[in-house]
Amino acid sequence: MIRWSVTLFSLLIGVVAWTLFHVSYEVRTLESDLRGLNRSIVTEQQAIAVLEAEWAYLNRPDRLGRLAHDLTRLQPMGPDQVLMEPETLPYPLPVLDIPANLVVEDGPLAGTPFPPRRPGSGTGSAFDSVPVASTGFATGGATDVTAATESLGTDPGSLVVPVAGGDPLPLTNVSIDVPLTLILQDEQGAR
Amino acid sequence: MRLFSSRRPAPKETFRPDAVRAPLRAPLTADLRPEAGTRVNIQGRAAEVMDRGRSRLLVTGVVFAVAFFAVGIRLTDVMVFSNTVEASPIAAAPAAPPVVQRADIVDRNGTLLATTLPTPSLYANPRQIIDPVEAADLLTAVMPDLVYAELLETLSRNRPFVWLHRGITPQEKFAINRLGIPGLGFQTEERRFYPFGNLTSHVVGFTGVDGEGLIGIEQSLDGRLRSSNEPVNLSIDIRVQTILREELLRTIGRHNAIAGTGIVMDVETGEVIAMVSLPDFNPADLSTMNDETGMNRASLGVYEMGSTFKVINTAAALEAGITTLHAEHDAVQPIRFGGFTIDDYRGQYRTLTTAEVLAYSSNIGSVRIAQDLGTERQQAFLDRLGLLQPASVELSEVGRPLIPDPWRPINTMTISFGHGLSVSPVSLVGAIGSMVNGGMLYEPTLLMHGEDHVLTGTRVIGEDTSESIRRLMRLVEERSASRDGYGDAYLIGGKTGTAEKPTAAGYNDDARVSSYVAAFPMTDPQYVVFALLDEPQGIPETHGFATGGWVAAPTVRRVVERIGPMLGVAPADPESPEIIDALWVDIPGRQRPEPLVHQAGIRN
Repeated sequence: MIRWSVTLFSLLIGVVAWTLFHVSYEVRTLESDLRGLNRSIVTEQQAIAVLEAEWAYLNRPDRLGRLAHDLTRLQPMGPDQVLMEPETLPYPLPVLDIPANLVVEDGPLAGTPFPPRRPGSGTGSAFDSVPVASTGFATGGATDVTAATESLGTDPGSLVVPVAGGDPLPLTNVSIDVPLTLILQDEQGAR
Repeated sequence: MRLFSSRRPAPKETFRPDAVRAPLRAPLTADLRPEAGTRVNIQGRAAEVMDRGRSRLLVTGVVFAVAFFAVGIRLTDVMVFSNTVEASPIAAAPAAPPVVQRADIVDRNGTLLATTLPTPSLYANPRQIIDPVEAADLLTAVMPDLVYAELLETLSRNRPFVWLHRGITPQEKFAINRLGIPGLGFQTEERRFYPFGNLTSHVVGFTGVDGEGLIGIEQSLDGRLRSSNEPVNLSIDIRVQTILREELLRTIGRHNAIAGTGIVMDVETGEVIAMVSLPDFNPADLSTMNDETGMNRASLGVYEMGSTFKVINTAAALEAGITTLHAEHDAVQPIRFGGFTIDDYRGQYRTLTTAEVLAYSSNIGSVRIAQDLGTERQQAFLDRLGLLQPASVELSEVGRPLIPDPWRPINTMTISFGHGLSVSPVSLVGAIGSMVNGGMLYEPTLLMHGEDHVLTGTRVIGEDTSESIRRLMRLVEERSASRDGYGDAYLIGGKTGTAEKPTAAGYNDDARVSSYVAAFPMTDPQYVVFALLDEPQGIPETHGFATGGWVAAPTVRRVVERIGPMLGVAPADPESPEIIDALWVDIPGRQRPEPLVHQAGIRN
């Protein structure tokens, strides 16, 4: 009886002692790891501070200006290059759907749909959508087109093509490969 | 019963080895051993000794039991409760730089203007250096600052420690380590570093050897910089600062001026976006600092501002209701008063409207307006604008205005055109900001307002007066002879000032302070730009003039042209009817341009 309890207790004491020893050493290792990590964090932070200072030094506006002048073709921005309202920017309108029911009324191609469609392509035009230059770029030759067709297209935003009225343009001379300049009507129908 | 005795009891008789002593107990022989279960009664001396032994055993046992119990308690305490009772000192230590002497200073975009860096300094132990010649050779190749002969001499000394170079860069340290010379070492010291050097010399300032701020923000916010790690956000924009400094330097060089200063301020908040004073110094090389370069002319310098004060004079009169833009003032003849003659620079010598007084910068007209206003109202108005006290900007180098004492009628007259009262540029810029921004005075500040900052301004003039002033300043700019197209798109309005420098013998015709204070865009002013040149010289390009209009105004225009896109100010077409409408003021003989007829069929 006594021997049994003594054995049990010595075993218990042994296990507890070993656990304590083990845990204590584990804690000591972890603490030294933590110390090392903290030390390296501080080192890194100091390195970051040095790099930030160097970054600020390298980004001196006068140095950047000199580098930009020597190495690039960039120039200081002038007031005429600043546009505060993006909608006033003259850029090509992305895409404009051409009404599908346009038909050439006169000339040798009278009766054929405009723009020409590939045989067998059904109602879909080969030019279902055509990029259209905005009015900002629609100058020069385009004037003739609209002058001839001023009476057309009262629908705002519709396309003006020389198909009727006045003096229609001979469409036979219009090659598909030539970029078409199409004019957008504005709300008043005036150019 | 005695349990313990400190002394051994003295033997009852003299000790004799041969004497037979009485046995303590009867000799236990086999026959005499009592059988088990028999009680033995010991008596006499033996019984007494046993009693004492038992008592001693008991007491010792109790003491040990208590001690072990205490150890057990403590052990449990340490093992089970240690984490809550006392935290590990390492776990509690934060992973941050152990000691930061000073917080950083950054500009409004977060660009580093001042920081504290651990800087290595190079030293040597010459006794450990094997070959001083080779070491000196290698070192001078890496560090051009070091002089070969001196270095060789230093390294050849028989001493255990010599400094070779204080404060080297990390790259230099790396290069020196690569050389692998024995006997060299590094000592790390904390040093203040200013990446922008001269550019921020007066605003940021610098620290002394013990890390205490000596001038600028470093000095005025010394306590704050020491106590907290959080960087101090200045209202300065380092890009605008660069542009202002470049343009001032260019003008100083062109006109051979002795000094110059400039300020850009946000009129809606009072935040100073740029503050430059030239000549300046390099905070990393204090040998470049002396009385001239160390002086912050933007805040410490006080100047008679000249005609720029006419803006304030006119505003005071308009606000007091004693005149209107088109009311007439007698400027027919120079004014003689107590031995002084007040004349115009380029006199019209006729009756001038209030608008014309400013447009022609008439001293006579301004004096008439000031006389109508009276000394008291003039004083009160200047006081409200903060021109009679030192500016409240966060610098210790703030100049006290030179105020006439006593304030005689002649002072009232001369102050109307900016003589006889010297104020600092930063005070003037704050006051002009309130003239154009709708009438609210915001004290100029060098600290950026946080998002939760509550603006506190004081109303100094009404909206209407402010609008009139905007139109008048635009009128002055439009009539300026030195306009060169720069800054036109930003609708600048301003007022020139040219003051002769006072000397002991009176005013000096040849020594001038030329300035221009402007705001842009005049339709909705956002920034005040000020430039002042000290003793500029006339050059052929300016037809020999060195006045504010010919020297400072072009500087301001160039600055505006360059900073406008940067600060996001919308350029506008100064010819467009809306702009002309917004800024027009009638003066006799001024022809309003016909609005452009837009050609039919042309659209933008």
